[in-house]
Order: sequence, then C-alpha cells, then structure tokens
Amino acid sequence: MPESEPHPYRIGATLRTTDTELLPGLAALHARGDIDHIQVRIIPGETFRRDLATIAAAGIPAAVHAPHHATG
Amino acid sequence: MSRTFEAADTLGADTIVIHAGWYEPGGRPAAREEFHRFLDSYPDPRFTLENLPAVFRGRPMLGTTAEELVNLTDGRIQGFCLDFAHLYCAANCLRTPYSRALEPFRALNIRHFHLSNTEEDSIADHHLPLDYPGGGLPFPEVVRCIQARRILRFAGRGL
Repeated sequence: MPESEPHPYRIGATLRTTDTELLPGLAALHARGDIDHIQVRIIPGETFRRDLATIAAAGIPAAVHAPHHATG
Repeated sequence: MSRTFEAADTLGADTIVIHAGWYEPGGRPAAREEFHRFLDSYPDPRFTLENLPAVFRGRPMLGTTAEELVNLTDGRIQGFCLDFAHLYCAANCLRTPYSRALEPFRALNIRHFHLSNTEEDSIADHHLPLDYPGGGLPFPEVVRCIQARRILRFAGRGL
C-alpha cells in the first residue's frame, strides 16, 4: 500500500492552559501524526506558570491564543 | 498580554491569535482607536487577527467581516485567522448568505483556520463538535475554502 501524501495543511487541537489533563491524549495524537500541533489558549490565573511548564514539557509544537472576551 | 508573550516565547510559537474584542453600543470609534493603541504598544509579527461573531452577549464585536479586519489592522498585522463558525454566526446576524460573507476572506493572508460547529441559524458561537446534531455550519463551502488555500494550520474547536 503506498504511503499517504503529506497533508498540504497542519491540523491542530485547542486546549486552555488550565486543561493540562488533556495533554497525555494530545501527546498521543501528536505521536501518531493525527495532529501536528496544539493551540494553547491563555487563561490568566495563579496556576498559569505551572500549567505552562507542563504544556511545554509535552514538547508538542504550539500556536498561542491570547485571552479573549470570555476570560479577560 | 505579558502572559501571552511569555507563553509564546516558552512554547516557541510563531503564531499568536488575537481578537479585537467587543464594545458598548455607540462605542465603535473609541474601540477602534483603542485597538490601534494596543497594536502600537505591542507590535509583534506573530499576531494573527481572528474574525469574530457580530455580537457577544448583546454587545457588538469588532472584526466581523474581512473588510473590517483589514481596516482594523491598518497594515500593522499581516496574517489573519478565519474562524468558520464565527463567520457563520456573523452571517446569520447580518442576514448575509454564508458564501457571500466567506468570499472576501479569500483575498486575505489566512494563516490559521478555526473549525467547529454551532447550532443552525445561531448568532452565538458555542464551539460545538463538528458532527453536532442540528449543527448548521455549511461544510461544503468550508471545505472548498480550505481546499482553495495553501493553508498553514487549523485548530479544531478553537475559540
């Protein structure tokens, strides 16, 4: 069976910085090639730096989404 | 914004998606000026401006149409994010056919797509799963738009 053509696009999935419990699943998707990156939406708060460190440690390429009208 | 820049630097992100936000009725000129002040204060080539629904909890929003996005950036931002569900809600609110609302976005430098569903005829975005029963996003037009682009990335259910 021929190898599939590379996608002309990159697929991602979004998580908030506070959604660190989703990282193992997203890391598995990334490892399988089902997603190419994550979009990380910033949620300001006391846990921000700890959450960010956890996300960075997952090593998944990321885009960032600034906080918006729903979160300040 | 300091947290946003910190996150982008830490994660090595080359894209920072931003919204222009909402304003109180009658406050559009002031909101536009405030957004320009923001861009002058935080010039960053990673900024990618996203289109928004026309209203949020009864308040009008900035950056609903392709023309408005271009006007808002005034050349300060080079890339845009097209949120298909936001555009669907805006088109419903403005009573514009989706295809007509989508067409002007083809001329923009779209670097990022957001893809989710929302209820049929809704003007409020709820970031629903793509296969949500009763979802109204016109996928044939969405797929044609994606196929027409040499797109860089898109993020599912991305706000």
